[in-house]
Amino acid sequence: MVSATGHRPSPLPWDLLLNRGAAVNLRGGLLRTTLHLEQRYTFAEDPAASARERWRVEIAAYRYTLSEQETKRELFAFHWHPGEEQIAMPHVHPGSRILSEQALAGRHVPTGPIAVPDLLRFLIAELGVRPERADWQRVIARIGEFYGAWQVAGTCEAS
Amino acid sequence: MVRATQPKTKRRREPRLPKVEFLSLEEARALYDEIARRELGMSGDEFIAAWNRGDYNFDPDYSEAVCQLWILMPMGLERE
Amino acid sequence: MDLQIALKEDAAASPRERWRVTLLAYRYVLIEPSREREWLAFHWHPRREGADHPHLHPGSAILSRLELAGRHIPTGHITLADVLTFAIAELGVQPERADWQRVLAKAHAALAGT
Repeated sequence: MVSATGHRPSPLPWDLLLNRGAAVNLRGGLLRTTLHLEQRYTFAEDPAASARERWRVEIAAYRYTLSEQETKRELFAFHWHPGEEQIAMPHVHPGSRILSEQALAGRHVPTGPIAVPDLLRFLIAELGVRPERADWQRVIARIGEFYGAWQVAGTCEAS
Repeated sequence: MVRATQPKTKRRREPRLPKVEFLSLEEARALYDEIARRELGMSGDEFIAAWNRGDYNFDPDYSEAVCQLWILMPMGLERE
Repeated sequence: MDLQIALKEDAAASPRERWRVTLLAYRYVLIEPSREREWLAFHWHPRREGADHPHLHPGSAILSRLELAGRHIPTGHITLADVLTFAIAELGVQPERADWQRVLAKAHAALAGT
């Protein structure tokens, strides 16, 4: 279940979350994992565009966290939370659960902006999570088409 | 007369893509409160006050729970 | 560190802006020097099927869960400036210059367009 909090322009951003903020158990895979997924988004208007393309969704922050089902300890946490004093660039935290070298725990390993299709492809193709649909590649490719080019500054846009 | 027929080839029905549920402002605030209580044992308003006070060093990476509640903070704020 | 680049000429441009660098592939690897084991490897090799998007390999030197060895963790495009900033700011590597942040920010701006 995907929940969202708004579908109109607003001075404050809106939020999208999976399973009402609770972890989702993923089926199959190398490791038994759960997923948390939240995004913050806004609407941006392009007055010069056609009526059909006037509004764009802009993703303003995200958190995708994979954790171990049994222990709930993090495996990977993909974060982007610009606007605060701390780390502004998209990054991934390798969780202490997968690290033999604890000096890396909590580090901000740079990534570019990670879109949900990238995450899903990683889960299925790399971690062996069982997709619900046989045509998952087509569905993910189609979702990917809605994402515009990622800007250099690290903003993420989806049209 | 017996008519031999081929069984229809059943096309696999793919699960529907999930619909998005849109929450009202009140539902969003209530859910934010529920998440804050579950993750940090405090109300949504208490978390927002703690964040604004600097209890978490204004660092969304303070912990995963703090990161979640920071990203979802618009749900807990008053909107016009 | 390995980079594969192409140089493209714009004959109509001024001499200063005639040549444009396009990045075709990259490999940035952080290695533990004493044992030559990989810590983190940032790769982009778009001609390789199944791994054509930018990605990161956590090295065996840092992994306790070896099922994850060799996995392609998605990243967007990473510039060399990103990797150096990570090494200095996160791993405590000592920069040669006090103004490293300014230098790397400028480099990132230049590299991100390639």
